[in-house]
Amino acid sequence: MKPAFLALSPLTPLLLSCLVGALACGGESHTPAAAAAATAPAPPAASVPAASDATADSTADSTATAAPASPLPEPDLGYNERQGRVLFQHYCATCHGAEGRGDGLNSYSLDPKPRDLSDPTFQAQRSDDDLASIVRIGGGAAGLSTGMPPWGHTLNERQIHNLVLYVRTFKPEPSSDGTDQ
Amino acid sequence: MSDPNGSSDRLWLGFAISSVLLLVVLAVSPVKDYFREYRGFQNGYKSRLLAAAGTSKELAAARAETVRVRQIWIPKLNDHVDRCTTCHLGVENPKMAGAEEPYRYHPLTPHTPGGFAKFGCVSCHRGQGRATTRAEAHGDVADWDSPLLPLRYTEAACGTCHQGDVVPEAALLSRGRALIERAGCPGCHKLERHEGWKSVAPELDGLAQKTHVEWLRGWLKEPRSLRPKTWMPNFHLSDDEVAALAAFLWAQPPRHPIDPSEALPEGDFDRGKTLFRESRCISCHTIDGRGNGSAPELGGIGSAANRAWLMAFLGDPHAFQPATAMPRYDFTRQDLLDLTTYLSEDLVDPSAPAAGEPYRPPLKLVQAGQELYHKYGCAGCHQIAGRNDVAQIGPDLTGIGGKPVARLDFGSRDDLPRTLPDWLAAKVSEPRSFREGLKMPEFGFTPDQVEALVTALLSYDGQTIPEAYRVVGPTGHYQPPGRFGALVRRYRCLSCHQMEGTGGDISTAPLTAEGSKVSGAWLKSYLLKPRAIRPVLTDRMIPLRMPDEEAGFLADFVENVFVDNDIPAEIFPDGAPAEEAERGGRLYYERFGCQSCHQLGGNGGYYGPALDDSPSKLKSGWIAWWLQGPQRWRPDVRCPNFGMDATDARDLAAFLMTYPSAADAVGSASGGQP
Repeated sequence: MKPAFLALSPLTPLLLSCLVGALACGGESHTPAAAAAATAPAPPAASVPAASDATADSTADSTATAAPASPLPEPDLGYNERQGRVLFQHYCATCHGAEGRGDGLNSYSLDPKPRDLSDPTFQAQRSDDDLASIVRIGGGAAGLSTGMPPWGHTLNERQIHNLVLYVRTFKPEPSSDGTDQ
Repeated sequence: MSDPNGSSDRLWLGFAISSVLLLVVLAVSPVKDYFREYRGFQNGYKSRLLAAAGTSKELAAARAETVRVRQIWIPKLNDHVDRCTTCHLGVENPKMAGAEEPYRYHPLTPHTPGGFAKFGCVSCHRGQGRATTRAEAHGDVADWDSPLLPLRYTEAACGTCHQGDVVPEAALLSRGRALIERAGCPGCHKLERHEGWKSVAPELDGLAQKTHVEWLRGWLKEPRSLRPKTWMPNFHLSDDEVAALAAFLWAQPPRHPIDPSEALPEGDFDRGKTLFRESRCISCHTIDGRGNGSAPELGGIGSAANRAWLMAFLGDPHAFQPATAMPRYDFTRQDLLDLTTYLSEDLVDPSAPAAGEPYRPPLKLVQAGQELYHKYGCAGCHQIAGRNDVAQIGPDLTGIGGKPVARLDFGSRDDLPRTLPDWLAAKVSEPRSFREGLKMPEFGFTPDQVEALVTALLSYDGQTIPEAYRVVGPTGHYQPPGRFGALVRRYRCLSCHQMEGTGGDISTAPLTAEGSKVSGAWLKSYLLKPRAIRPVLTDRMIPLRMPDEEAGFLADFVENVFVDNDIPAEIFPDGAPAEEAERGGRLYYERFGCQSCHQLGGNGGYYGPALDDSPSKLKSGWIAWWLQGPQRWRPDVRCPNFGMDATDARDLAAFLMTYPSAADAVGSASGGQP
């Protein structure tokens, strides 16, 4: 029994190092970058979590009185809603109002009046696709007022998608944080 | 007896045991790998794919999914490698919209879907892309130079490749870059991409002939107490420092001396008030916070500046401030007397410090003030004629957005999370809070301004990006030639208007092809007597009171030189046919709803330009060209592109060019719809 196993043993370290090398790069070393990654001075994987745990602990200890807090409040809108807000303020707010309540400066000369987009009933009745479609083809083509122009040739689909996401953030009651520029 | 044999056996045994141990130790790695979280995620993703599969093809594809490390390798982008998609499996699969992490479909951005192969993930999100565990990839890994960017600051990464001032679909980044310029950060700090920054702060010579020393001291102590929205930051100077700096500034002789002995007769207050309103100062300035805001607040100007100075300055601003954006109006002496009477008597701030005894600064104080002037780097923003002071006294901020946390000085701010964005946010909002003796002034930024600034600062991460990935913004350096140029500089047209990509943005209409749009006769009359074009705007063209001959010259130049050959001039050489005009009228009111935004015949919205004077103002070819794609004039034009065909555009042009005669026909035909 001894000879069969031991015959292998001189080769074992070599074999194993090959095995480990293959495993370290996830068993898939056929791209040059992966091979490079296995040998490159990438961050030492094993030691890294320990180090980050240690720093987390030490900061927690040193600031036992007050937990570290970011100097800025959490943002209220995500990336897409923000881009939608910029578009809304540029193209829509003059009629629909900065808060979407249909009371923009240009609304006074319009008949019918622009839609109050913050109305919860309206929000519930329309799907995202409905809203996107009206923005795209305009009121005239949908049998509504030509006061709402079609934006499908001006805005791309992503911009319309972002606009709809932003419109969904409108709330009926006056918000206290309406501090834009 | 078998001593050598026995020792050899023990040796073999030891060798065998150590080999087994070695095997066990080395087996830890594959076993650990077997229990990696990504295997679970990949199995979870596969079961989601199987559940969502609608066709046999999708089913087959889902079944073919194997557990493996997935990576994006981009040799052209600095040999970029990341393995984020090992866990974030659904980023390119629209069926995973709204799924929980890590399966979620990536939100729509200009580069997703479709851009993963070109940009990878880490280019935008930073973090340790080669890691295959959550803690290592996302975590604030010690000594890893590029931690994951908090989502709120993701737009910073757009700025690594996009070098322009305005980055499309990155509103926060664009705002931050504009704020860096407006707040004057490059006055003290070297900052990549802002090397060409020019201060808009006034030169500080000759203050003694402009104001009184009590006002100056109040201003140095806390500028926002006198102008709440000023960009001048608060240096939190002690009273001694204020006195010394004021003495130093008081001693700087004027570039353009005023004759103090000249007696100024009282002007006509009411006429001055009318003149002030007519001159549309709020197209740039604010009064009690209302107005464009690119130029200083004028409420309280009567308390800050004396009448003799106002009189001289309004007569020729460029003699006092050669770099000012303010145009030189052609005011008469009587105009100036009336205007300054109004400014000095009406635009006063009762809470501003009152003038005291005439002041003669002691030499010692002047010298102490000069040291403070250098210490606080005043010259970074304010020049003094005849001096050549050192600017940019702050630390070099090149590559600040990629600075490792270990190299940041948190000083006494133990309350801050140890991250670069939080450090930057605290530096920008409370610069003096890190320790005693810091010099950076406090700007009073709002939280959303801080967020924009931090985003912009993070975008300067010092990375070298391959040429193919770099997006450079427009670089206009148009120099208007000859006499036209001299007039453009005198009237500072480029403070508001753009020509060939150069100039300000107070007027939204670029002048580059203005000659293809309007007639020279109309332009001349407009220069002589500007009127509201878009009723909704407060920032309107100002009446510069220029001589008739100059207006004619400018109009002539624009009509002949600022021409775009792609825009036809005249499409109705024999007049617009009545039937086309009539059809255009129906299109105007019934199909396209132009009246929603435009005034015509006393009806319509206030948003777009009034169209009554189209026949004498606009060129028919331009109207038809515009209607088939207004965004060709300027990408952010608000007039929608209706996808109009050439016939509709031509008929609408015919309608407008024959207004009001064609409108009568439409009015009777369509039942008088306005």
